Parts: sequence; structure tokens; C-alpha cells
Amino acid sequence: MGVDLEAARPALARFLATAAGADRAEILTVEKLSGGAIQNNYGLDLELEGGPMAGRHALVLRTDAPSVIAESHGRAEEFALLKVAYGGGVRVPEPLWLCTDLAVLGQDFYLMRRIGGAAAGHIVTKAVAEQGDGSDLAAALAQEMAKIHRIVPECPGVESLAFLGASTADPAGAAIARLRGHLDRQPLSHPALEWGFRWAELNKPSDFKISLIHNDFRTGNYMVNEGKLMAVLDWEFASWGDPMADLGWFCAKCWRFGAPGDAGGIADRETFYAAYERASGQAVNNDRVFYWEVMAHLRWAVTAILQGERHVTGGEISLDLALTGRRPAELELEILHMIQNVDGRKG
Amino acid sequence: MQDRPDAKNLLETARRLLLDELLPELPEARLYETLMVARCMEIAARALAAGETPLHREYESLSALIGETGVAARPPRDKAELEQAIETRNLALCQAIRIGEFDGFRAAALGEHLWQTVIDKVCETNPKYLKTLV
Repeated sequence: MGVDLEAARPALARFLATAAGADRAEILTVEKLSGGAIQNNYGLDLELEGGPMAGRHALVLRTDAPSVIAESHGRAEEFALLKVAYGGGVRVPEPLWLCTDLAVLGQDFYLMRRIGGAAAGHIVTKAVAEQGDGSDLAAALAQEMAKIHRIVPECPGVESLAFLGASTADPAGAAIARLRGHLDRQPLSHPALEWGFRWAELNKPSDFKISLIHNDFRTGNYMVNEGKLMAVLDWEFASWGDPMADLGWFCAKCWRFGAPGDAGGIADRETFYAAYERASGQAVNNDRVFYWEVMAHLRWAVTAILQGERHVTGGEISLDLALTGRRPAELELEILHMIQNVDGRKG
Repeated sequence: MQDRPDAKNLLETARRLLLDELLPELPEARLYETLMVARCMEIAARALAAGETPLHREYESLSALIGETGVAARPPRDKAELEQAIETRNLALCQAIRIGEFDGFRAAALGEHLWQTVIDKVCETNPKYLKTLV
């Protein structure tokens, strides 16, 4: 499916000229960027004549991809999230213009500034290993995470995030219910995951301190250039939630790309926690981060099953999706291992 | 009975050729895809080597766990029927877990069953992962 940007070039140029308050906009180059399974990204070089932004701009145009996951936000929502994050001083690509006029591309899209660097998890962890020390990068990430967590439902200016719904007092219970719902709709049963969810239910923390969470904050979803953090990307799962869930997702073993360093495969956990505590003024709750690491494996396992089904029954033949469909085995093993260890310690 | 080599040998030989001789000739941009192809061949070869043994083990263990014994528990001969029988039992097991039937003293027996079946799964998909458990 996807959009035909070549055919839409004149309409797109007209939209961009109006949005930028320019006399004329010329699209110099367009190229498809590799990226997520959920959205399509295009690199776009733009020349604006007249208006406040006259000159040349390197941009990214982001649209929905064919396979939209019901749980992820659409482009308009993601644009609103980026605006709030940018306003909160979080290092993100500056969001510029949103277009919800389907006459232009046939679907919603927005433009943001293009940022150089690499994001792919195996590239980032390899570069850190070669450099020998990822503590500065980990500290920078902790600072950005802390900035996100300062955005709470009571903040002025977050009215644009109304689509997130009211914040729940029980984000763990909500996550369990949502993931079990997905699992129940799959053709095969998964007793090990079921046992993981039972554990998660029986060990559910309470008294959450709710803030905005990125909800997909992990190695692979931030841009690095020469060891420096450039931007935090991929905001389509952001929600109100437990800040410790972001730390758990970031530190979960399934997102370390086989690299050493509990913190995203780039640094040790202590370095990351210390930087987070300094930046946020909040203590890291170890048990709670552990809880969310178990949940991270459960969530990734369920997502992997869904992705595998897209290949098997969804008509989207892909070796990548097919192999992802076989990832749950090792995630299940890790879940059993984590639960046994923690319950063994308690007992 | 087929002539030799068997299917597992064919896959392994093809995989070695892909990785040792074809991969160096391919542009770097195709590296990731090539490794994925090799990975699929590896999984398929392991599945062929293991045969139906893990399925039978899972069936027996499940039957013992959810209390089916005797003639009715004899495994179906046909592979598809065996998988169907396992799925039926797995579904019953999942429901029992969810309503808390394995919360107490039965947790240990469940744990043993889950470890065994999940290790069997990982032995096919990614046996190296077993070494990463600390």
C-alpha cells in the first residue's frame, strides 16, 4: 500500500508552502527511510521561498504504514505528543506541521526536522562496545527520561493529550488486562505467558505516581551520532503510566541486543539509575523496575506473537515477521527464570 | 525411506554454503537478510532432528499435570491430531492458571512442566539463549 509521494509532490509542495507561510515550496529530494513496522518515514529536502522560514530544510515526513497496530497512536496524536515533549525540553525532532487533509496524501502525515545518526539497536550497542564506554550516553538518556516524567496530567498545556484518556490509578492491572485480551484472540495458547500474567497479577504494585511515559523507551528508539544522544524517537505508544515502567522497559534483557550492560546494552544499571535519580529527584524503586521488566518480556512476547500472525495469517509475508513469531520461546524462558529467582529469594 | 543424505543434512550443508561462500560475495546491505535466512535453516534443521519427541513429551507432561490418565490419554498417532490434543490441554491449563488453580502447592508441578516445555521450544528456536540465563 503506502503512499505515492512522487505523484503527490505538487499537492504536498502546496501544503508545505501554506503551512510554512512561504510564497513557494520546492521539494528537492524524497527518499524512503528504513523504519518501523507501524509507520513509514521519508527523508525530504525542502526549499522555501519567502516567509519566516525561507531557506533549505532537511525534514522527515511520517505517515501511517499499512499494518497499523490498534494500540499505537495515529500520526495526529503522535504529533501532539511530540509538541508536548518538545515544549517540555525533551530532545526530540522538532515537530513542524501536521496535515489531516486526506486530499494531499490520502492519509494523515506530519513533518519534523531530520536528525542525523543511527538508531538501530545492534548498531548503537556495537558502536558503544567499540568506544568502550556508554555511561555518558546512558546518563543523557536518563535525563531525557526524567524530563518526560516531569509531565504529569495536572500540567498546564497537556490538554492536547486528551486522546490519552484519563490516567488510570492501576497501570499494571490495565496492562495485564490489555495483553491478556490480545493473547486470548490468538490461535494457540501460551501457558508460560499465562503463568507470567498470573504472577504479574498477584505481585501487582500499588500507589502509583502517574506521569507521562514514553512506553517504548529502549535502545533502537533513540538516535545517536558519534556517541551523542540526538533525539528520542517513536512516541506512538506514549501514555499516562508508572515512570518505573519506562526504566523497566529500557533495562529489560530483551532490549539489550545481546550486549552487556543492563541499561539498554550500553551501560550498567547503577550508572543509569544514578543519572535518573539526579535528573528527576526521584528515587528508583528497584522492585518496581524488576516488576516492569517481567512485564516487558510479557508485552514483547505478546507483540511478537501478533507479528508472527501477521506473517502466517495476515497476508504480510515477511521473513522478519516470521522469525519474530518464534521469539516468544526465549522470552517465556526468561519470564520463568525471573519469576523463579525472585520468588526463590522471597521464599 | 529416502536415500542419503537426510533433510537435516541437506539444510545444514546449504546453510554452510550460504554463510561461508555466498555471504562474503553479497553487498553489506543484504547481510541482515542473509543471516535471517541462515537462521531459518538452522531452526528447520533442529526441528527435523528433534522430530516429534518434544510434542510427545509435552503431551505426556500436560496429561499428568491436568489429571488425565489411562486409555483416553494415549497420544494420537497423527501429528496434526497430537498438536490439536496438546492445544486443547494447553487451553484448559491456561484457564486453570488464570483462575488461580495453580497458585498454591501445585505451582511446583506447573513450574516443572513449563520449564521442560519452554526449554524444548528454545532448543529448537535459539539454544544459545540457554547459556545467557544467570
